[in-house]
Amino acid sequence: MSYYFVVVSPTDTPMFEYTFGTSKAGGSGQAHFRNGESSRYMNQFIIHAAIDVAEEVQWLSPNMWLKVIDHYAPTNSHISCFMTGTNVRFMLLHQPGGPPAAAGSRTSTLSSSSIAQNPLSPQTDEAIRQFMTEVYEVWVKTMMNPFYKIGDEIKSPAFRARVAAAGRKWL
Amino acid sequence: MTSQGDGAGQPPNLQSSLPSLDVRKIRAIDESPENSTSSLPFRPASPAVLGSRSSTLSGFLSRSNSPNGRSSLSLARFGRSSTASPLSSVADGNDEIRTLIVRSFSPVVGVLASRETDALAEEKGFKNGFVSLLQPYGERITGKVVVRDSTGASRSWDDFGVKFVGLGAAVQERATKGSEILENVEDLIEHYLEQHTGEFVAGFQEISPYYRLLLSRLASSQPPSQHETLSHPVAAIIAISSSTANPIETLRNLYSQSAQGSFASPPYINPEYLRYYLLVHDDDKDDLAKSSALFDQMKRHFGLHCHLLRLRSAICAQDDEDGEEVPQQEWIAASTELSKLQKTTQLIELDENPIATIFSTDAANIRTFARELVSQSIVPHMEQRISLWNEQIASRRRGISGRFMSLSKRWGGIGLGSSRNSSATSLAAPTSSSGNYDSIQGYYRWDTSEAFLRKMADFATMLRDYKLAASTYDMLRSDYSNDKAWKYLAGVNEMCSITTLLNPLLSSSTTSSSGKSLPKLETFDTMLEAASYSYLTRCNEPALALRCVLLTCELLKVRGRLASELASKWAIRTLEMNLAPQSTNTHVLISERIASCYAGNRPSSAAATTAHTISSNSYTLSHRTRHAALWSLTSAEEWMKLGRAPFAAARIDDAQELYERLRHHEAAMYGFKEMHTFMNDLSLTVRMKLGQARQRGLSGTSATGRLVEPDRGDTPGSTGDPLGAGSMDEIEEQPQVEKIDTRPVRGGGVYHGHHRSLTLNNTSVAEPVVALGPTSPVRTRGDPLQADQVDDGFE
Repeated sequence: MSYYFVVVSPTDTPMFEYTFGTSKAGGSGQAHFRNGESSRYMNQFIIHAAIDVAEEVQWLSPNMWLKVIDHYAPTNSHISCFMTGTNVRFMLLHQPGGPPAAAGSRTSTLSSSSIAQNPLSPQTDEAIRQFMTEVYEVWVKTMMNPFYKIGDEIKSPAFRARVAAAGRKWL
Repeated sequence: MTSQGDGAGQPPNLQSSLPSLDVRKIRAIDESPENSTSSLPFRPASPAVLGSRSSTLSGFLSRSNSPNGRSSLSLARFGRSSTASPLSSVADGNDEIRTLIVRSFSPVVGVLASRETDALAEEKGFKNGFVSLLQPYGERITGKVVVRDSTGASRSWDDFGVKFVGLGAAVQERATKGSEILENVEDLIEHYLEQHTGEFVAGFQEISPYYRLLLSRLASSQPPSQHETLSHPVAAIIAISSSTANPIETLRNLYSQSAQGSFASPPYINPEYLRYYLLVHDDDKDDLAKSSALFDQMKRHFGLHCHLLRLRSAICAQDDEDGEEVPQQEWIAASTELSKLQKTTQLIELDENPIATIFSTDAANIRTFARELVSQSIVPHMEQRISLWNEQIASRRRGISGRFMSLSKRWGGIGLGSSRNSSATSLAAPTSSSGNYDSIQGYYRWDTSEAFLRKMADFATMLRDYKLAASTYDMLRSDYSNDKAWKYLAGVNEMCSITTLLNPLLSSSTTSSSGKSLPKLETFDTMLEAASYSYLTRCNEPALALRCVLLTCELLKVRGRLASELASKWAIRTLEMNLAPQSTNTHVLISERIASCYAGNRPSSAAATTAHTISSNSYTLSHRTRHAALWSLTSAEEWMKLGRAPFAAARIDDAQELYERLRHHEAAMYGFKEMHTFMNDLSLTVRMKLGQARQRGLSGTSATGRLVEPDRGDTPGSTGDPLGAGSMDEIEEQPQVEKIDTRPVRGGGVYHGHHRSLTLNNTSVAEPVVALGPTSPVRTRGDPLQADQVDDGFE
């Protein structure tokens, strides 16, 4: 399962982007997107398109965690969204079905209920929610940083490291 | 060319559409989308789409004639006019599509002609028999045709039509592989794309004529089949000519051929269609008095369904002043069209005119004949049949007793003898057993009640009584699924969804909760699912599946946002189901439609006020603008892969315009770097390609690596002037056709609002030797896209 995580500001600019793959069940932590090279820009397009839906769905639920809001069929990508109080969106694009089985042992450890295989299961949902909550905590701390101008790109390597750690832990 | 003396409702003939074609051509080439969108006519139907669906739908009821004008390319050799193509000028409006769909369901009339009649036609230059003489004139009946529907209300339509086919073709089954049809349609589109390179580029939210071509060919390419009676003949014309030796004898002969002989219908086609007798009188050779006497005799024998058609048997020369061209046929199967096109090219090479001409009197006579046939014979016949079947069969099924019957049918031959293939199933028998479906051969016999119901529903569709049709199809759905008649089930699901959506009286479910409302969208989902699954998996008919989904999607699109989302979801599924493989024209045409689904069919907001309202409300109105832009760009990329730069350019402009609508459009354009890079590179590639094309067109030589620029004298100051690094100025003073966009520079930096200038108006586009790779978003050398006056920059 490959992930592409973006923090989108209220003015739709990306404040933070991070691509990674699953580390669970023998995954290497590297992202292997189905569409290969074109995923560099396609992922951005897909996330951007999902902002449409986020804007609509945000009024329907009082929660910050909006779950899977959109689905892009041609690459079988799902987008989940977590919305903060200041209209900052954490959007995660997850695409199941990573690299073709390099080693037979690898696939055998992936059970059908594992996160990697089934993007819509409640386990995946829960895992992503935990991930988002952790990122949210880190993000709040970043916001409180007096040297950080709100709306800017988040350049702090500590932030990146924490997000990566959260990814490894939950996803 | 004299104008044709037709009724008021006649669509513009070839001549009048010529000027419109030229205008369109210039539009596509020279105007920037900014100007072109502002010059788009404000479609009366479209503001209704913005909010109240009911007004749009009532607009359908009082539909005006929306002609599909014909356009023609002029070939140099033939002065007057020449090979007409079915692509009319770029038109817009979902009314067009709806009209197209409505008209695609027209009754099929078989034609069985005696040998002499065929010979007469051949003398006039129609080598495929008498039917080819009639065919072009049936598709649009002059004047209004009044139809009474099952509730007794009568409506008049002015775009009614019938399809004339040879009786053999109508009743004899042809084995066509499912994928063959799709391939044929694809080839056809490719052919037209080749022929008209660069023209007919649909603007923002206009419907591409290629897409219309796709739809119409999909709809008309099906061979006669068991599962849908739409292509079964409603009537048959038995034609003899005045030079036939034994006229009454011949007529009897032909009749028996159609009833029992070589043109007899297979067991699933109802053989009780209307027989119409036509006496073709040869003005030039035979005696009118004798023919009239014969005609009177016929009338006494056969009743009302006769006609005397007077034709001249002499061949009409090309520049005979009495002659006129035979109109192009609109509804032909893709394979037929392909072979026709081949023949046309052969003829052109031989220096013969591929378009046949006949005398205007002949044409007028044929039109009158068609009109009489339809309004006096076919429509009343169909109405009678519908009411007969309605009473006898359908009304038994509805209501309490009907439900008991269907229940008892379902619980099988417990008490009822199942009569497989029983030819004795009479019309009046209330209990048709569950064994009506001949699962070995895969059809229902024509005299089973299911077959009658289906035929009735199809008649209703052809007569445009959609309410009756939809309810009958619904009834049939459960029947067929019980009998496990998969192809029939798929067909009926398809027709049910189409007719329900064609019914203009229903409003969307979100506004009305009364019983009259449109069935929930889930039912369409289910129906489409069932239909496409059955077609694809069980029957292996991808063409039918594609037709079903595309027609339903088109009709769903106009019904509000939820419906258009469903439509887009299904259209995406057709791409997934691989009904249109990756790099085909069909694939990209569908992608364009998906973009349009998401864009919501609103008119392009050229007026600044509307744009502001929409964008300022973008947090409150739910919209899918970004999705639409994504799909536009996807289709642009696909067009580029197919090598069709003008289309790609148009789609890129669409995407720009869609992004403009957003409140935070700067973010869309510049925030996500990769997106921006991609868009820039794509536009650059497109412009390069367009520049190549233009150079080739201008200089006539193959474009070399370097600039050929001085063709245009009006590019002052551009030659050899690579815009210095960092020079940002808009080259306003250039009087070239390129519309510099006048919007304020946005977002600063290297990029500014130059995106408008992407369209293909630019003249001296340099053809750089080295194509820029898709890297380095930062351009240190000014703005290359702006500086297409640069000749040898980019190295």
